[in-house]
Amino acid sequence: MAILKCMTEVDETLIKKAAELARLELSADETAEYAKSIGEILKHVDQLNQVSVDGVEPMIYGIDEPLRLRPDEVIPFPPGRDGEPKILESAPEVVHGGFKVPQILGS
Amino acid sequence: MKTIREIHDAFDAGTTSPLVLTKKYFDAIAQSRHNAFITVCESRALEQANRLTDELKSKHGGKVPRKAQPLFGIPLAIKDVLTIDGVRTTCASKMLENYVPPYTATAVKKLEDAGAITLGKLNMDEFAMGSSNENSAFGPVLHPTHLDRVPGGSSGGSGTAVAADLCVAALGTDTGGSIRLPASFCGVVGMKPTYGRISRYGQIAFASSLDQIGPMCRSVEDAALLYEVMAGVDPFDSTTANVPVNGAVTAPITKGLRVGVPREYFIDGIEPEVKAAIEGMIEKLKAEGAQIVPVSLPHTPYAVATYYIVAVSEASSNLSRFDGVRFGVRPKEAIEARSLSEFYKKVRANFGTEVKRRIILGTFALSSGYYDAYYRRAAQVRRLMRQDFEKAFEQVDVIVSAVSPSTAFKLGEKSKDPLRMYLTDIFTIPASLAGLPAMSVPVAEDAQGLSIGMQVIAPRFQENVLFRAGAAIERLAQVGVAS
Repeated sequence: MAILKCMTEVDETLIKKAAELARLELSADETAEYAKSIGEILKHVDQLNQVSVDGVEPMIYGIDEPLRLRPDEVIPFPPGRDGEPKILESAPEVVHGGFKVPQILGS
Repeated sequence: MKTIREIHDAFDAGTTSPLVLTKKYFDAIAQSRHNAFITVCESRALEQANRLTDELKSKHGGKVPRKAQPLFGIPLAIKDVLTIDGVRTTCASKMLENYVPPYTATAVKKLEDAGAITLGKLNMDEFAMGSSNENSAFGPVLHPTHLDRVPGGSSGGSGTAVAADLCVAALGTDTGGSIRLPASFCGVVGMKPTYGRISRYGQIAFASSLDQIGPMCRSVEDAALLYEVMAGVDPFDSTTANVPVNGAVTAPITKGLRVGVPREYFIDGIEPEVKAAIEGMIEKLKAEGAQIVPVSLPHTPYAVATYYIVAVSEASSNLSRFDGVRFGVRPKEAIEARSLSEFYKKVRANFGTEVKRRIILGTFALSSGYYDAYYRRAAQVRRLMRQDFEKAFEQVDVIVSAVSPSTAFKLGEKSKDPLRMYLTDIFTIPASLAGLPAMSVPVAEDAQGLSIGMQVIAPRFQENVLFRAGAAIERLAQVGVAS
């Protein structure tokens, strides 16, 4: 069976598309630099096309054993300094004992 | 007084105490120019040290309770990728510069329960992405003895802090070599356990199928002590393995030890002094009765390509959690954003250059139309690399090689060329992809006095063999911090 070739041409359009998917905003200089460096990295990665992988099961996980589930029990989170839930201490903004999120649906 | 055993002897003799030792380390940290620490936990550590110093007299009759608390009064430092309740944890990123986690990583909790004192949080490459520790938002870490050189990465702060005597031992994390490389460059012992041995709960994830926590120490015996304390099943990490822990025996073995030497690890690009040091140690092992067996790991040339698809793919998924909603920074521009997409982009502008590169590459490798050609193919080659090791371990007990083709390089030497930087990891990546335990032991120095580490790799869950082989190499080498 023929080995699949995947010589991808990396250009700024491809970088911009991936950046958009990852919700990253890039400057023009960054876009150009990533197009160059990621192009070189993928050129190196293309050597994987030399390996015959027919019928090889992908190794996705680090373990062979099935995952163990722990009992579905409620473990109360300890209160923080002011008696508020401790997890809120690292929140960027808090309102009425909850995480404050910005308006996202437009005004 | 260099190793944990020697420090405990000194506590027993009353010539020093946990408090005196801890204060001594804070003085050393204050005077250090290495930029090894991001956060120093002085009041927290002094509280721990005071309590332990009192307990040594009041509870233990002046004798260290070595069995119950094998790390009693030992000042350690922790890579800033591991959470500690109430202590800022940054991952060396602007994204988390204000993050104070509400929980403690299992590995750290176990060390502190065993009597360890935490001096502070160590500098690293941002989100553990790097091989030189130049990718930190808090500035690069300097090599312990050659200040114009890198300590290796991503656990560069850990390597430098142990070698420069800013702590007794440290925790690092290893995804593709991030413990072994800085251990080799800095001249300390660094050990990555089998994937699944030590809980990753509280370790901020980079690539979840590869990440492992491990000790960086002055001796193989110290590494075994820390390892044994940390290893084991944790209900909070479902990938921890229920396999008996068999670590802390460090009686050196050479006689009859079958040592595999993979021909693919003696490539053209390896520095002559590094090659000579590794070959010299192999000769010494042979003279001591080890059986040297040539083995082949034929997929080694594909390791870097495989790793930089698998690891970045996992990273792009893991790092999507940094969205500025529940933790981390939320800059003013994000608060003023007019859409969710814009909000995310303004928050995620706080990632550094290398982190963004890897997120973009990983997003691309997982994206529709490219997934089979990149991610799936890399995961298949990963399986073949693991099978290479399984075949080799039918003939040998351990495999040895150099940790890196070179000794510590100069700051800035590779930072503008990501691919060249990635190739630094060529010898450490295969064991990571296969989930195997591996260790770096200092064996020699080059003409400039830069450390050369030998890598030892063992079969899954055979850390006992790894430690005993490592101890033999350490004894034969007689270099490194503790010699």
